[in-house]
Amino acid sequence: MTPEARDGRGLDLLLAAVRSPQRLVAMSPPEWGALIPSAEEARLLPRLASDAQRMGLTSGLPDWTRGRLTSALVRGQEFERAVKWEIDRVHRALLPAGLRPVFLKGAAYIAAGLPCGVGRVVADVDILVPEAELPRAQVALQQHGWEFEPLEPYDERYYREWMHELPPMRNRDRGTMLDVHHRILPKTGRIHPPTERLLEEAREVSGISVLSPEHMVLHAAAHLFQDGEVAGALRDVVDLRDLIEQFGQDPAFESRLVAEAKVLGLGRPLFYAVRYARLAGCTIDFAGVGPWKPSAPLLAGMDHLVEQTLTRPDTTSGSLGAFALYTRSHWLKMPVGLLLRHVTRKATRNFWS
Amino acid sequence: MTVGDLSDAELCGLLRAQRFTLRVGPFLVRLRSVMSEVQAALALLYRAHEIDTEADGAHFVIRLDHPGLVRRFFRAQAQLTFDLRQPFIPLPASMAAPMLEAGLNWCIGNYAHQFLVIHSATLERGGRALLMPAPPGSGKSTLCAALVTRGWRLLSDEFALVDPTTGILVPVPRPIALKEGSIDVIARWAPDAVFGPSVVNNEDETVAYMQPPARSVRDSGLTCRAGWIVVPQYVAGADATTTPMTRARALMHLADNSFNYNFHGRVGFDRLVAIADQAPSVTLRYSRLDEGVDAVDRLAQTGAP
Amino acid sequence: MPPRPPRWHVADPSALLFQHWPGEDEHVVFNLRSGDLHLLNPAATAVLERLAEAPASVDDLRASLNQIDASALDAVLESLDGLGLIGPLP
Repeated sequence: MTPEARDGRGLDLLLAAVRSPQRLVAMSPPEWGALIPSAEEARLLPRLASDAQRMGLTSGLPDWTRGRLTSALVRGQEFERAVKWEIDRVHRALLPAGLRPVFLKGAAYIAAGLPCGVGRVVADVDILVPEAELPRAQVALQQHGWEFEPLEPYDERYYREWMHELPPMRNRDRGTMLDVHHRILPKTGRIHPPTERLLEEAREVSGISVLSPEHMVLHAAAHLFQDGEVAGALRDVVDLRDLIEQFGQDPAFESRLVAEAKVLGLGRPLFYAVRYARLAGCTIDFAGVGPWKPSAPLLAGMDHLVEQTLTRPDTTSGSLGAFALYTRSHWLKMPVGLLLRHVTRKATRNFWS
Repeated sequence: MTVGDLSDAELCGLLRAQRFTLRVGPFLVRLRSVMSEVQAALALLYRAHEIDTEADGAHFVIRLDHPGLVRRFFRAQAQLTFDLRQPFIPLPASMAAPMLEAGLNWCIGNYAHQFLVIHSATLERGGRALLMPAPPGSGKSTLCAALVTRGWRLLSDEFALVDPTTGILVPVPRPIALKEGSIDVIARWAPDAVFGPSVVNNEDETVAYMQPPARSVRDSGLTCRAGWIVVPQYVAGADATTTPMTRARALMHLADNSFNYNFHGRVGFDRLVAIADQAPSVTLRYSRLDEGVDAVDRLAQTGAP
Repeated sequence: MPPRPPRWHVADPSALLFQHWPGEDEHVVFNLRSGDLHLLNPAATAVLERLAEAPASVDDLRASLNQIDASALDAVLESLDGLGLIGPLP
């Protein structure tokens, strides 16, 4: 981690801005100077830029702030276009083969016009299909330019034999990544929510199939809090906050959410999701998750873990990988070797930090 | 106040305290470093550039330092940090100047989407801009360096920055990157040109930077519109010949060399169409530099190819 | 029974921005949805413009664009489909 990253001020400002975009109104130039890099690192800058634009703030800002925010806005628009196009291309491959995939996470949020889709930085597209359809899906995708990334034999076995998943696929023309799932949690995990239920309840929004609102929340919760660990970053908590606040406007949502959590065995992750969405300023609390509250020591441990993980700089490989969708397709269109004449871009995280 | 107005001690102090903010065209670049190589590169190559002592921030905040205590003293290395990221592997400290330039290219290529960015040398004469959109290795930097020492104003050897709302070209003059034989060619062509030290990069090529003409840097606030497009093709032994391109092909060529016109949707497309429309384009095959320069000069005088 | 030849269509004609300079053979089309720019020869331009007006089957296209020979037409359709400019109507 760089010394700059250890500086907590940017992160504090980011948390404040995430909890309340109103905080952006009175932000001073030095505060913007600390906020922008932290927001960039947390994959939240395009989103904040969108908030700032919506609040009519941009014209009053210093030129350098406005420049960075405008650049982030433009990038956010490009992510949106790229994801929507990717959805189109996946449909082109799969619909004629009689397959209708359910789109997960970022692609679903963007296509459904959800608040957590605004200014979203997307790395991959994830789809869910029944296990029986995996072979046909693979063939159809390969016929339309998707290939498996070359993997070490160990990694190939990991995916296919242990995880029973298709390894990630990369589109030859666009360089974009596609993950084809038939279960939403790893086989090696302790909880196995039945895919059939998710597919049964899936619905059509803006021409694509997405999970039901309850399942979107549970899926996000399960991924962030699977097996009692925290596998994500601030952005994921913001997603949960957005989803809960959006869907929670329906008074009947809580009871459906709790009922589905029981069916899928995701009560504990849901409890954590509701509790920690408050970190991102969520104003909705669901009393119905009370039964899944863990013991006091366990809860204290999780509180600490969350505070350590989710409110610290996002140094997961996701933060470099988050630009995969962007940079791969971007670099393919770019003249090769612009920067590579003099220096080499790292492929992996810097081991000095 | 320019970099050249600072004493060594002042420059060193500002760099260490992260109070050194350079104006590079439309961008404010705040730099921090304890490395003498960085200080020397800035003092020489950015001599004419303005520094902004009152700046309350910058578009790009860059730190260029040794990656750790060991690598400060033993086979000293340099590492660049931009925002909270380190986009490049550490390199020998002698490569500080190329690393800084690559870092700025990185910033402009990835974090300046308020502009349409085209990978192109951009020069100006008589109020109109010459664009030379081309990938690395096409000879455009050599031709660019030659032209700026023959009366053309340098907007950039690397980028054409287009304002998407107005279509005007925004200068971002920086040191001109030259490689291998081009260094000697330009040194002979323009004996008064000032060069930074030659360094061998990690691809075993010799690289040196030419100080941009002071007047080009001073006039970096003067914008203009596209006037001509020249696609240079260095072909050993060839006589200089210009061949007109159709506007459709010119448009494709601009797009092929543009990082982000398509991020701007309809507006980006319309801007590129306007450039292809208003600036006649030619390909220029050449080998001898003087013939290449003459061909470009003639184009600028006659207007149409 | 052999599969019916598909009808082709342009999913969103408003997303295609055409550009052409008088006197030049080639047309350029920008696909707002894919973000891609394409250089089209006269045959591809004719097919794409026709489909942007309304969906058509291969037979319709053969009839109305009889200046294009049959195998060239198939090649054009395959290319335009591969580029995401047109698609089969289900």
